[in-house]
Amino acid sequence: MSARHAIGAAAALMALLASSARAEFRPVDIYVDAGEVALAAYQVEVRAAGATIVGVEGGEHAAFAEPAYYDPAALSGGRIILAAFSTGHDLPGGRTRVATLHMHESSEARYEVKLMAAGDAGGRRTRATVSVVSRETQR
Amino acid sequence: MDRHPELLDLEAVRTGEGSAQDARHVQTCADCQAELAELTRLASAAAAMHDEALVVPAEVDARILWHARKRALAARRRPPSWPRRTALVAAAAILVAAGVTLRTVQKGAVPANVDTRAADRLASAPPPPSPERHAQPAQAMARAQRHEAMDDERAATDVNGDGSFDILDAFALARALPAPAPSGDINGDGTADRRDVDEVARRAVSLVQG
Repeated sequence: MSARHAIGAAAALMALLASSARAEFRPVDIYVDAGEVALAAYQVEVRAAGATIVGVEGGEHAAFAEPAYYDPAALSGGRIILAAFSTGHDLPGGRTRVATLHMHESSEARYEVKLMAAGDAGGRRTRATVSVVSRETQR
Repeated sequence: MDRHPELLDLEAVRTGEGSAQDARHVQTCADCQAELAELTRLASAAAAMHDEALVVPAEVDARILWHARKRALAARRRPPSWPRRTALVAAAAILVAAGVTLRTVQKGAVPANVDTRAADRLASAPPPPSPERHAQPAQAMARAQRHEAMDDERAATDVNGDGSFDILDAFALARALPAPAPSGDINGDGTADRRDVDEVARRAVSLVQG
């Protein structure tokens, strides 16, 4: 873990300790659907209102099982850009969960997600849709 | 015998677009018939070349793009020439002169038939929060230099050359590895490896640029 990651994590922890008793942890899943095209790369931007990002988890398919690239500064805020790619041959098709964000919700949270890029195995830009789904509260 | 047709006229005869006179001449002239046969052979050979599909492997394509991007970047990273610096200084001088001129006009004598009440109200109001104040050319220049440096970084990371800067650039670099240094050496450590891929990806997800 780099110094920037450590500082970001510490800042996120301090934000948690200072938060109200109503706060809840909630996993938020990010899905990308490239249709019939096998997804090899994606980049999305997630914005959260009323919630703080505390962690990033990989996706369901082996190609995206590792946590995505992100800016550690996002851990103390409500905006993050996630991106990942796979050079392997086993790639997911259709709708797949590419990442899960662990959120700390201090009030009624709202999420927005925007697809910035999606690519196929040849590195070509491809059409895709992105969606965000909140799971049950884990408090 | 009438004159020999020119080469272009012979080509027109070959394609069926020539004049009747030239066509008749070719039928009776052995030299022109030989020349026409040569034209026909050349045309067939050219057509055969077009029939062969030219397939460029993705890896070769990526490496060509790499070299093109690095060349463009190297050209952009050359130190600014004196004319360019002179232009920057001239631009700063123009900005300062414009600021001085505006102040002079505001303070100058106003004809008696001009209603200055509106101008007075504007003058007494606080200045608008403009980031490009005339009195701060140095800051504007510094800002321009920062933008130029940012453009250079974006150019360095637009690996696939599609004009966008995102994870697909890191993906393109990963697919091209092992790329010959320095073409894939993004972080400048003398080698092109996975760390350069990570560097491109890190820039792609940076909240500062995103």
